[in-house]
Amino acid sequence: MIDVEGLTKVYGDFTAVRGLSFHVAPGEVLGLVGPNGAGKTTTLRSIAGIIVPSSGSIRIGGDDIATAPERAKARLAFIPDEPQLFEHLTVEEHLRFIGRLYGVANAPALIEPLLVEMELLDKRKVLPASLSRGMRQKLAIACGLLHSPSALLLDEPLTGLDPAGMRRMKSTIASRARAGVAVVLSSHLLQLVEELCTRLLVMQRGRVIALGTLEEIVAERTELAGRPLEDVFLALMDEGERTDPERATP
Amino acid sequence: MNGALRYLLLHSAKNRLRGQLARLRRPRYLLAVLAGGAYFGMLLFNSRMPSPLSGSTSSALGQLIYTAVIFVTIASGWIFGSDRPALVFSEAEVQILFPAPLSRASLVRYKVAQAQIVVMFSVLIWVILLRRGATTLPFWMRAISLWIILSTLYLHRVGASLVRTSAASHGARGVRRNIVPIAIVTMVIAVAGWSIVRAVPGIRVAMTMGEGSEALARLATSQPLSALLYPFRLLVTPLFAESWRQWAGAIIPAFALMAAHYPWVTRTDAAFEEAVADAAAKRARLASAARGTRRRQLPDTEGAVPRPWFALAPTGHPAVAIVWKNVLAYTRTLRLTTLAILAVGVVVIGTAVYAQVGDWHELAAIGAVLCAIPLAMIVFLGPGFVRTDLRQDLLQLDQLRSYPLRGRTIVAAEVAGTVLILTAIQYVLLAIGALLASFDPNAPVPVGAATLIALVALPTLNAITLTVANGAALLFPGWVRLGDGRTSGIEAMGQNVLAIFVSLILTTIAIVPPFIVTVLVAGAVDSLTGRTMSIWSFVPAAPVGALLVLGELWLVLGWLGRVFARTDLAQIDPPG
Repeated sequence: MIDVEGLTKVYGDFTAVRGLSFHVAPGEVLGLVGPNGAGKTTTLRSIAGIIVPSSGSIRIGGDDIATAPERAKARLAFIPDEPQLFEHLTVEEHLRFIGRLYGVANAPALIEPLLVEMELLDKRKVLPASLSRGMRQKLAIACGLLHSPSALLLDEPLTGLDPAGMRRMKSTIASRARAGVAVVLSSHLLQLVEELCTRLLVMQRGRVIALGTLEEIVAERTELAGRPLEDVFLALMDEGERTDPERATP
Repeated sequence: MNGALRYLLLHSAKNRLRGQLARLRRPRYLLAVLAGGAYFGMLLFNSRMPSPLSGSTSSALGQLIYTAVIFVTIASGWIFGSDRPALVFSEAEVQILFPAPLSRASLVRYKVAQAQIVVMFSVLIWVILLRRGATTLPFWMRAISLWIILSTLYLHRVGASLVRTSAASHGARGVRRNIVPIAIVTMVIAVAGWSIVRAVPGIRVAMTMGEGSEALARLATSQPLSALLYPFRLLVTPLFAESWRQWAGAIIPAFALMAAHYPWVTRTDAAFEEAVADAAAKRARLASAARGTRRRQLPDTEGAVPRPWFALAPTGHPAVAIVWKNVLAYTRTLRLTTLAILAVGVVVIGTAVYAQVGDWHELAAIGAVLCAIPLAMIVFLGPGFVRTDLRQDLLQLDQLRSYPLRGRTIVAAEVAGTVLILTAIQYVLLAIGALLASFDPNAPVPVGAATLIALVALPTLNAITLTVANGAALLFPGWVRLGDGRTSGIEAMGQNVLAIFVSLILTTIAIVPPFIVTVLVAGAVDSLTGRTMSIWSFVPAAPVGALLVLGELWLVLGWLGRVFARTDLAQIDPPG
């Protein structure tokens, strides 16, 4: 469903993402992990068609985001870590707006169940200024789910949510994946990644350090067998530091 | 001023200037600066080059107009001004300075000093645009004169808003506490309004004889209006001085008037912090959303949300959703109080004028003119007031770019929403004006033909000016204020005038070829019907011109769509 091939993004002298390639199949949840500045958000924004890659190709359901952006974007939803909402639209109006934008003919019928799922039903007539951080996040997610995307890009989806909201969100992500949605999830919360993701993509300074299931990653590094994900992650970061050609001293 | 605040002011200004200079590394910004600099340089040093405002400071009528503009600016600030203070603090200033051991007065002094940067920039633009006119005053004398005018107006606006804030936050007690300024302002506005209404029949008669300016001058020198306008005249007199001696005599009272405002403003007791903090948080939220940084939550403002004026059908062209969103956003920012004051004002003034003229036809003719003036002004000033388009939405670029729409479609939909709003306002004025003009047997043009032409011309002109405004935001996001707030206040008038001026130039360039074709088509219609330059011949010609404009805009929007698709998020850093 999501095919990324040789993705590179350069800002002036700085390379944010270097030759990234991966594939996410329907029903798969790919966890994007890495330290701050690893290039996770740049990767997600490139897949969402928000920023133009310096080189490489991105396909969503076979449609290239560069040559057929409308068709590719119609299949995906991007939910950023900082929800961007329109200050003068109420919760329900946001969903009506998105429904029209994505051509969801039965949007009026879908809105209420979605508001119930996101626990926003009693806030449907309210402007975003009156919503808490978590509610804003839920509304952004509801907007992303309304058109039943085949590919879901989530950047730190649990930010600002209370424990009950976190549990509900994890259940929402898992149920969408079970329904055949390809999910890419970026998070610093390793427990979340371990719990939800079927595969991991570990990034550091824009390049891939490891890609595969947790078992596959550990199998290649026998010293990490049986260690918690946090230890695996830190060990991978050390490994990345040592093997980074950009940091190699002459 | 407090030493820490002085440090903050100087270093912030220095770093901001550095940031602006760094933008010049982008060829687009550099080219714009070079083109603008070349034009304004020629305007300043080449006396033969026409300037839109040069000469306006060289006559008694000019002085009268400047006095009237200042009076109207100040009066409208009192009547229509917001109950929020005109002091604008950033979120960082709110979080760091408000809890700090600083007095309210020192915060106000800091803001007043900070505003001087904008005032100085405005002075520079005004000096260039006004140029010499008929006076021989050197550049620096005119600059000082303008600085005093703009600084006084800024201080007065802040003072007025603080009085309003105090009155609004303390209720009846607040009104009692500020009774002196409120009473003075009410009296001045009432007496000025009464004097003008009383003079309307005389001015109408004088205008028909081509002596309108003399009649206006007589009105300004008649009592009690002359006495009421004295402080305003005091302020503009140095700008009209014809010798340095005259200037020196006039500048001292003008300076004294400005200086008198300072203690009035800085000794405020208005508790403006809460209103200022709310506004700052809102701005910060929008800005941080664009940059993907964290924000603090706004205080709960839950309440009844006005219903949309029209519903969005679930199916149809997706771009309509963006138009709907923007129109809805505008209707929700409308201040019903302002509309109510305007409506009451129109009824009161209409009744008073009727009492003076005693003739419905005369009243209708005056009303038609009063509709035509704002209608034309909206074409160029409207884009500065209605900003629910890319200038607001660029802060949500991530969201816009993730939509399954082409860049051209998104930009066109953003422009179309504002065109719709401005055109709707103009059509209301046009309908009222045409209805009133139909009662005037001496209307200068056939009302039917003029109305039909206006129906086509107004949306066409709006589409051009708004494409220019949105294009500027897209091409120069570092120079255009993004988000809800527009650059307001008299101290920022230079920037706004600059924006209008650039829009005027680009609109003129865009309109010349279609206008020539329209005239040619009208000429052809004339020759077919055997008439000579009849306004009715422009009725079928206007849509032809409008179609040509649409063709131009289609090309421009295609280009802007490609720019939109390439715009880097790092550029969306709103100017502070």
